[in-house]
Amino acid sequence: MSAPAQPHGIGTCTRCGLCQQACPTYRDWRLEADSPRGRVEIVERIAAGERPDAAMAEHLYACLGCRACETACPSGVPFGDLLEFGRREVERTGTLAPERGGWRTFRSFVFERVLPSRALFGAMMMPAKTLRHMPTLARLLRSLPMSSGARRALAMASIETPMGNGRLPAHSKAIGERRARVALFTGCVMDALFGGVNEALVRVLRSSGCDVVAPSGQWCCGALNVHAGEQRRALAMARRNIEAFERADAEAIVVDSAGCGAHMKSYGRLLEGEPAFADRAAAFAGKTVDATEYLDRIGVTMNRPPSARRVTYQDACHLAHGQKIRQAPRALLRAMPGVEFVELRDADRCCGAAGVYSLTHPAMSQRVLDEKLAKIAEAGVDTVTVTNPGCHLQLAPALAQRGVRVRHVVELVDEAIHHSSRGTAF
Amino acid sequence: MKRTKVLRSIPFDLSLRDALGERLRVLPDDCARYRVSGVTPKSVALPRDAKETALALEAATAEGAIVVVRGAGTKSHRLPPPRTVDVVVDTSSLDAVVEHAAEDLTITVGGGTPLVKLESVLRARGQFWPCDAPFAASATVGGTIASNAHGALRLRYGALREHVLGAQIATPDGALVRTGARVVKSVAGYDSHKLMTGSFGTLGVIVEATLKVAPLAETENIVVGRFRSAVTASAIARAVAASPLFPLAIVLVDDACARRVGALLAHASTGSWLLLVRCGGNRRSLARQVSDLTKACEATGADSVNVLDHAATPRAWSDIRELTGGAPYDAERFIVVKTTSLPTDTPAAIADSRNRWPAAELSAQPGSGVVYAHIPVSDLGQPADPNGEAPHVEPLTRAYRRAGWSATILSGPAASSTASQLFLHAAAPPPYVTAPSAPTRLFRAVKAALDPAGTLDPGRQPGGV
Amino acid sequence: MDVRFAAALEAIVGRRHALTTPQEIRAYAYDGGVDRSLPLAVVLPGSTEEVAAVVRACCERDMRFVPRGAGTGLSGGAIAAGDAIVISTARLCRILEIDAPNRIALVEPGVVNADVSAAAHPHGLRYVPDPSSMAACTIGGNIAENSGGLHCLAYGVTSAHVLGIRIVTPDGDIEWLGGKTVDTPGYDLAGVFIGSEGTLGIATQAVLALSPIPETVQTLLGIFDSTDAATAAVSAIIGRGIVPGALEMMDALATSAVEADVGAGLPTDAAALLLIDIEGLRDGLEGTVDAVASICRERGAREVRIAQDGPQRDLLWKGRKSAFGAMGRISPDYYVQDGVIPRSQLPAMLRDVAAAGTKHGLRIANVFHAGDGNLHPLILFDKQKEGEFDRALAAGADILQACVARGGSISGEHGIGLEKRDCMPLQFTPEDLSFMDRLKSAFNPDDRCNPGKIFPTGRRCGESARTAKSGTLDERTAALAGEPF
Repeated sequence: MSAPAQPHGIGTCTRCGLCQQACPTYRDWRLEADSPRGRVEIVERIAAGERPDAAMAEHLYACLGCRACETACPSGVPFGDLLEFGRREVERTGTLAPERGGWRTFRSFVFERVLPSRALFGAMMMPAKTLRHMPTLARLLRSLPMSSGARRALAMASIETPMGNGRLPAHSKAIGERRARVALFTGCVMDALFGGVNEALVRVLRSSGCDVVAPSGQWCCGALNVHAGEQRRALAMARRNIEAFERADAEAIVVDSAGCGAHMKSYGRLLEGEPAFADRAAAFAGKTVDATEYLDRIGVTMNRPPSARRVTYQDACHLAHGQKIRQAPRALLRAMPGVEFVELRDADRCCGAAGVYSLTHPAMSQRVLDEKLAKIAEAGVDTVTVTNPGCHLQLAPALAQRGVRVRHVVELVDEAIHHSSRGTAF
Repeated sequence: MKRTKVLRSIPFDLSLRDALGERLRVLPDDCARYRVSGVTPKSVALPRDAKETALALEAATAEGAIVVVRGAGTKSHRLPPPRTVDVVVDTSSLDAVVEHAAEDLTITVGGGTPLVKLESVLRARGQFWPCDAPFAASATVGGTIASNAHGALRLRYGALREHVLGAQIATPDGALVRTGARVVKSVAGYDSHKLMTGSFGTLGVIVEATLKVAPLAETENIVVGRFRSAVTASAIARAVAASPLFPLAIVLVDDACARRVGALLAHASTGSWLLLVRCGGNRRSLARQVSDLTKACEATGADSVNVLDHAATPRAWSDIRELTGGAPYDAERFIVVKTTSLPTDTPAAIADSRNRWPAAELSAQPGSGVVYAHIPVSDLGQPADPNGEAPHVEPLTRAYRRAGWSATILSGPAASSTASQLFLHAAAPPPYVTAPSAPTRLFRAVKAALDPAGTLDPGRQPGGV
Repeated sequence: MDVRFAAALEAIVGRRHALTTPQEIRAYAYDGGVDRSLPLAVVLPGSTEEVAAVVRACCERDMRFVPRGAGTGLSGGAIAAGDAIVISTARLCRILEIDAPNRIALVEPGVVNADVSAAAHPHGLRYVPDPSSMAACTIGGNIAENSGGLHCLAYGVTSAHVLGIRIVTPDGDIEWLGGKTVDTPGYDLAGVFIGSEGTLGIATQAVLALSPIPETVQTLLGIFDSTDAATAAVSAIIGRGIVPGALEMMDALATSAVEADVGAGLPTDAAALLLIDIEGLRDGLEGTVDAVASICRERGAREVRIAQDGPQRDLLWKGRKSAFGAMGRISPDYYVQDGVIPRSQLPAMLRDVAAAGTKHGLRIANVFHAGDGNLHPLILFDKQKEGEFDRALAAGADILQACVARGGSISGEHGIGLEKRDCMPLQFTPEDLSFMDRLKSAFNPDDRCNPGKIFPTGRRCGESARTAKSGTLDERTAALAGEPF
């Protein structure tokens, strides 16, 4: 087998091992092959031309992709990129263990069919939306025998999320003096299940002097695809978004999902090999900004106590490790009147959601979640804030039983500016 | 230890004489001055240098002779006495200061260098060896290391082994080996010099040692708190030891011990305990330490709190340090037992000693869990019935094992029966120590590997190793 | 390795924790150093008894074994030299007890160094030894290597903070060396076990001494335009009778890599930086800080910055701690040395290091424990370039030779392991080595426990048979790949 094109970052790992304790799977299993440097070793073998076998594939897929190792790494190894490369090669040439046979079917359906298509995705989300309105059916379904992954999916599908009123205007004018023109990235899961967050973000941006456009033609960023080693559709999705946002002519592309933002900021690298897109992708990436990062930068005036008292913040992996943003969301929370901000111990450790990980590796995901829940209990808060839909879906079902609410940081910012999150018209 | 049977066709000392010439003494009067717990050696070797020391050991090993190493002889009242001593190797001629690298905080000296000499050389450069060993007036560096005889400064500076960076060792087969290095940090090869601490000359002779030294504090005081209860005083000691005050040393003495220290005479009172906290630093830091310590003592009901100032401290401490190892006690009239336990058990260990030996004079390092009992021989009473139990007191060996404490007899009169009386049951093997779990098999293996012929004081170590 | 032995190991530790396939054991072919070598199998026991059972199984089959902690070591100590299995302590990772009144912690060897201090922190206590890898390295490995750390200048290295060690001996017995109390009677076997690089047995529990956390800490950053001025300041500070909590130095090349990693605002144009921790009571600390600052200025510091306790200070130290790994930002590979010299020789020694770099045509960055005279020259190379690795080794050997010539030691804290075993004769005579060998035989008579480490093989220093260099690893991997265990 010939060696694939060398991915960015190969050879930068010195095997110093400082990453190990940052890794949720290493902390749990204590196996080197399930530590970041063990996985880098596997990826480097693949890069050198070794055909990935089932064991190698399993180690790469057992990774949550939280990239906490990147924060721990002094050498600057771009672990996320290496992992994406490794998984891509697994999908291209590799073998999977027989018990993982369902993965390829799931993968080709979800990543090649559903995610790239707004219509199909919308259709797939219907049952979830239906369950919200039919709690009896949800209870009935929960009583059926099913795999833990399916049970997890069901739990997520039945929780209450801020779906909003279902429509975002294409253009919203700044309130007061206009300071900027920004474009909103609405996403797939955010759009389907967290429309209320997007709407809140628009309100906040307007009140802070921004014209907001939500370009049509945009769709899913493709992050989940590349995390699952799917590249062809992912590239197409990136191109489509780049084209959509070029038409918007905004100075910033604001995104309220950390996972999407991290991926959108890497469009430049993703498309660097395509002359027609390389520069445009870099420009797109350069404009992309996380909502908390942007709001912290432009400054927001928050005069009203939001509907949360004692609040903590769970770092989204793709914000803290992927985008190195830690202070912005905390600064916003600290500035809110009537809010006591409590730091969560090990806040920057993954909650176990990790994209589709909670569905593909439910047992590990649950253990990581349990550890997180214990620390949240320690913090003794009424509200946990997040910046990513995956974290929200992972934490909300378990925390709902404990009477703790999960909110997007932007939702609280909205409340702190406008007091009532409901009923404010655009 | 299996001993080589040597057919002695010639007097065993002849090859030694070849090695040492006139520096081998065999006259009875000479030998009598080198008695080990009442046992007179057959000869005394006085090597001039490392090489002669090695030659002496090689010759002794070849002859199957038993060698006891001696520095200044300050710990020559050990129990039980050795069965036989063919040669005492006296290291006191190995007293050169080889190199004092003051800037590097190291000093290299001969094993026979007296502590007084070491300390005066260091003091001239504002430094000291933070081992605080007793018998400071005459003990040697080598002997202090070999007997692991460190004092209360361990609280702040750590174990004695940490202040030995390297050594040259004469081995029983006549080799001179170096371990460690002359720098403050080295992990090259095994730290065999650390094995020498507490080995009592049974693995080799320390002919040279490189020591890690420390700068003297800018100014020092001793806070003296008088308490009616050792329990209260120990609790304060533990709290202070765990606090950012981080004092240099803490010693607790009963009134009898206190009366043996001139500087404490005025503070001693019958039935009470003195807590002695030595602290140092710059003036402002010291003022804060003294003030906090004084408050802590007063808040817990100290009868009185006094402070020995910078001028009084060195003199007072040079007396206090002698109480950590029995130095001020006549070895013919006192048995000195050292007990180690967890610091929280120190009050219980003190109570146990008081109960077991009512006339004993007690000192302790309550922050480190060490108690010294200086027991008048007259206090030992009748030997217990070997088949029964003493009426009131649980046998020491059993009681200590249960509590997880260790006990060692540091010194005492030669009559070995006193030792078994002391321990009520002679269940512990010579030399009468007890420890919760001693890896005796490994002790034996180490001894067999480094002194295969059993030349160096066999039986000196726990388990008769 | 035969199937029955693999089955025996599985029976002891369970299938999941007996690794015998190439894919699983390959991840144990390296540690943080430059050597690479595959074990025959890897077992991860879950208790002292399982460790003992694995060791006894090895004894029955005359199999050699290598203890391994986190594998962050820098001298190849935790990788198999020749045919051996690896016994990993990674699963023995519980803090069994924090006994605050007695200032001790009872821990298993797989506990991460930094976690001990974290657990002790609520009690106002800390575990002092803080090697740069403290966020990942484990106590068992720290004991094996007698690890140093940034704060060992004032408080001593690992051996000063370990009271007792429960070990499994190389023949499978379980023994306590030392214990929870000070001065346990008999030979100080804990003292010699610490730093024995896993050749005398496997630690399965340890009693660690905890120390009070200083009331306050201030960190000084001394910025110098020449390394000579910086080293002169180091000597002057110690000479003034001040022993700082930590006293570290970085040269310009190291600073540039560190700054790229952490962005602490370090001046990358300075020739040398001193990082100095002054710890103690609040009262009187200012005086010491001022004294150190003025010594730095007197010796030519162009600027002295003072960071109070807090994020700025943490960032400075994070930079220092990540210095080795940060070399990855300026070079594909690096080879770190660990020699020690008397502090007074620092200026001359730094010239020796520079000369070694010039001679072998390689860049060398310097990061080191200046207070201890413990150098860490980081020799930068690219193993993809023909001959560079050999040149790096040769430069390393030159540096070690210079350390010994200046009255020092070839290793201050990283250990000898595989990497420097053939450099031991620089520092020790055959008699010295034979004495150590006899000591080893007392514990490990059949050389079954971590064989091939520490003792020289007869090759020249810097010439040793690098498992990585010859490509042996890949050949063996290829062979293993086709071989079902």
